[in-house]
Amino acid sequence: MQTSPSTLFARSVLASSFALLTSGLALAADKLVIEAGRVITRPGHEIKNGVIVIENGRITKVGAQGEVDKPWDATVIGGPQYVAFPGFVEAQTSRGLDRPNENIDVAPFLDIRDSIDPINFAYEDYLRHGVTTLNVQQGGNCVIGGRGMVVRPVGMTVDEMAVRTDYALKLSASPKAGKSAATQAMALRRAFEELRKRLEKQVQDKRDGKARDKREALFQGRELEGDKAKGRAMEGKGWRVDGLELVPRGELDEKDLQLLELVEGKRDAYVWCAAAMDVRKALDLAKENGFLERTTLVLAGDCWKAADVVAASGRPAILIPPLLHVETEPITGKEVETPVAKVFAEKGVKFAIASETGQASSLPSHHVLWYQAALAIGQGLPRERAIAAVTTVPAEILGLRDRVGSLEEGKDGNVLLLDGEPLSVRTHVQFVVIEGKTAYDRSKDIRLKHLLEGKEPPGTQAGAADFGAAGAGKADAKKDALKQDEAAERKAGEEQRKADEKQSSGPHFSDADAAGEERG
Amino acid sequence: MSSRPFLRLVLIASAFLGALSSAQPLPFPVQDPPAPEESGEKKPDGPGQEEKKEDKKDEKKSESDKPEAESKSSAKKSDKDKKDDKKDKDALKRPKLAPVEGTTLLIRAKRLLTRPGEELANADVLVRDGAIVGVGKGLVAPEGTRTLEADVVCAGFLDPWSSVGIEEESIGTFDATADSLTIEALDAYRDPHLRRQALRGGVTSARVQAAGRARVGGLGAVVRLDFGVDVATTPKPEPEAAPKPAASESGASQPGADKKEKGDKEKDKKDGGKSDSKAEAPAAPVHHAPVLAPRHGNAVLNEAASLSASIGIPRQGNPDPFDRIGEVDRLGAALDAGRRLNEQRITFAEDLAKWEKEIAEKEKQLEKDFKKAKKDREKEQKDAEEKAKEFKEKAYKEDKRPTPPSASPEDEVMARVASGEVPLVVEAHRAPEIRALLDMLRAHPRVRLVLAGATEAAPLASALAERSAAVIVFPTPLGTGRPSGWTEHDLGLAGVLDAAGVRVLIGSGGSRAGASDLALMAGLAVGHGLDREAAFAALTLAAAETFDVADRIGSVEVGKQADLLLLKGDPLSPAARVQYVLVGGQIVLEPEAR
Repeated sequence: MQTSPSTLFARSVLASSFALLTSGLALAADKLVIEAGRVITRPGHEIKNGVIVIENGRITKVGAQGEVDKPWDATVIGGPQYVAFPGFVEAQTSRGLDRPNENIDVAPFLDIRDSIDPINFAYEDYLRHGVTTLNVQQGGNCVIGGRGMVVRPVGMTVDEMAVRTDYALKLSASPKAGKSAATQAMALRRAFEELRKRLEKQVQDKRDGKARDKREALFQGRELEGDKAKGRAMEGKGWRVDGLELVPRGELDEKDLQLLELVEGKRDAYVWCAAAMDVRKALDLAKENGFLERTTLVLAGDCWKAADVVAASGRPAILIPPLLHVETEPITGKEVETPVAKVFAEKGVKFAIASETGQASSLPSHHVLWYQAALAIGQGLPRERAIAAVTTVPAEILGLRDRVGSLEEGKDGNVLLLDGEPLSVRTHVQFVVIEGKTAYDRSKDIRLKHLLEGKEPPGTQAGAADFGAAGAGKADAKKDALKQDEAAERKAGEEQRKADEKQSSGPHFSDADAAGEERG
Repeated sequence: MSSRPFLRLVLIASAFLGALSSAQPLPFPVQDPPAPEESGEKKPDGPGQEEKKEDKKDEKKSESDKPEAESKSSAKKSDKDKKDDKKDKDALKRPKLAPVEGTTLLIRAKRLLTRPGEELANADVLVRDGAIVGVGKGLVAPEGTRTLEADVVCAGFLDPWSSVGIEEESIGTFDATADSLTIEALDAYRDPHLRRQALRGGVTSARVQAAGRARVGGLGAVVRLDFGVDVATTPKPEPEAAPKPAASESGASQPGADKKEKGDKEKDKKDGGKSDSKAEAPAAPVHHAPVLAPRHGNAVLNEAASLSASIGIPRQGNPDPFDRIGEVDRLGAALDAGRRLNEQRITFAEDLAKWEKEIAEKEKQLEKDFKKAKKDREKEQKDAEEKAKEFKEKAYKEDKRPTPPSASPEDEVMARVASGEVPLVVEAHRAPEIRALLDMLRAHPRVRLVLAGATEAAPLASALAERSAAVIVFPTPLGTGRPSGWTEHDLGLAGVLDAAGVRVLIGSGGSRAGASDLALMAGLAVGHGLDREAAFAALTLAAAETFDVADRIGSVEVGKQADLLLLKGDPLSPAARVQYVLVGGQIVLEPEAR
């Protein structure tokens, strides 16, 4: 994230808006009843005049009005004008990071949790667009990136946001900046080769009676008790190092553990492919190193040419916008457009749609998940598959099939209340409920008010005029009233300043602003 | 020679007509109609008229094909196949494909060039399952075997210096190291038209090299040029190939399938919109997975055909003379490291054997002396305890197992080069650098040197011959400006080197698109003094031998892969026409596809 003055300014706004949201969360009861004119439980299934009961964060009942017992002490939200819909699931994104590591080529020892910035605009934006679960992974500009994390877009700390920690590794089959296909492939090959060599050396040292690894482990203060004191034979379907059971797991280098888990088939992997030629390399790499069955391919538009290869591998894929691939035909010079999602659907590939771009130039709309799914429908993807691609399929890819992705008993209470048909440009997300708590209420969306109605955010000098007591607190209300004239003057000045800023920082526009404007 | 540009014009024009769709595989029946030579042979045309006549001829042919193809088709032939046959007209400019398995072909040649310097008159070649199974006169093929006839038949050409099909960044990168693999940079989806062009020029395989201009560019590979181009490795079963509705088709099929369809539709319109269903048919076999799978595709003939290095090539600015000599030294140091590794490995193997023997003897001895040893040890321990001294157990020095030499991945590759397993291809142009290189390599007698470029090599011809180095020359008429600074390519260089006894190869200068002109370049070299036979060898057997693929390609002999050219005219004549091109026994180019 670049920290231009405009984002700094907006960040303070965001902090205060989150404060409001979290206070709302605290008030919510453990029981929540959501009523809606239509309840869409999963693609292709809906209940007219439905009721969803959420207790202690889980859905306990879903059914038609009258058929479902509503707890008498539950808070009730919704109404017949709403459409209830499962929260969208983002299969993988690298937005919302303070800054992604893209310097170190091979860095599986890094954890994205150290980089997640809970007050990043991206999470507010996700919430506004109805995404309730997202997998934050390092970007594709790496050889082997850090470990990702599944989060919900609410909370002021990483721990509050966490759904699944220490999750999958990100790898890239495509050249990172400054590399070519040849050198990228070489770097990947070397990473695993070196791991194997180091492990073999440790085994040999153990056989030779050398205790250097143990001393090193003790020196580094690593745990060498319990399970860590025991060795375990190497597992997995790739290559193996014989005799690894001789080496207590605690004596293995901490930097090697994540890759070893990958080779042993104990960790998920997301492999980025920017071009069709990378798909087979990605699959070969995964197969040779034993993590094919835990691999999800992250595919850019060009990869539709390798759709057959993906289909034959049986691995799920995540499609990255733009979902309409445009290419210039080398001989005729004509532009050829290909609807990527449709191609993969016809090849029988299980895919999720994601809302980030692998390209340097990205449009704000690329960051709106439902909009990407809607575009795919326009390009010929069957509606149900498009909805599945942003709900049930990503839930399955993330291994959260029984928690998110649809509205069923026992699942997390992640519900959207929409004011119309889902995936329609005329529909807005009115409420977002995450695990039984209202996390977003459009009527209280300060940023939208700022953007659509021109109201200044609370907490700012100028905002005092618009929000008064709500913004500055009751004690200050009188003072604010007295200073109102002054504030109005300042507001004018502020607007002038911002106008200037906007001009100067055109490209640094925050995503949230841009997306909001697009919709507004 | 002058007809070559014309020929290219024709090619380009036909490519346009074919709307690039030529890159699409077609669901053609296994048994194709009889040899089109019948019509093709009788019309020796001036190059200028070729285009029109060819079109007419093709149309005529395809029309006449219809009944025959249908009559040939057995009961199992589906409607789709028939449709395809009818659709021949649409496929005018497209190659036909036959599946690999079980294909038998009989080729009757008026002149069969089996290998450089050997030729048979009126001889036949029998091809089965991708390999040559018979060469000789009056061969008899099983009934129903497709027979092709040609004036001249020879082995497909090998371009020893190319970068066709390699991902863009990888061609130009300077960051590669000895252990980077070119096959990992091959992009089967890109530039099929360039590979097709090369096939049209008779080049069936190439030594491709990524990072050719890096100091050390990693391992190059010899690959078949039909990878990713139309090669149906897994012919789709019939039902899948059923036509789909036009609207939903556009994006569903393979790269450029939609382009082709557009082309077809346009054609259909021109034909008076004969039938819409025709238009869908070409997309039916959908996408054939490209043959190329790194490390295990049959498109890769030798994944470690060469190690590339370069000396004196402008990278970030022109290197000064000291830099250039420094580059020779650096290459020498890398080779030293490789040789050292080889030596260490041998030493290690000896040490290990010795150690194992010693340990075995020691154990035997210990077993014998067990009781005595035990007693001694106990006594020593007791004494130590009495004297309150620390008891130290003797560690046998034999316990120290010799450690294997540790090697970086680069060293491992350099070791293969130093031992002569992998040829070393060095691009160098100036005489001083070549001389420095030869001097440096005196310390590495096993290294198999192949010089690429070698613009100023003429004065060093005898030294190169002494070293038994091969030289890949790039005899372009004007110089392509590559490498910049040597615009005066000496077309006579190949002849001079050959006369001195140096093995001469002819390559397209490491370019992506130049392979198609290989025969022209050979012709130029012959025109400027290169022995004709040596020129033909340079394109076929000599190149294959240099890069260790002569067991599979390079000549027309029983057991070799059926990479064949069926020509009208001498293979080295630029005016010769490539009629059919076979790669691995498959017809990848037919006359009407030109």
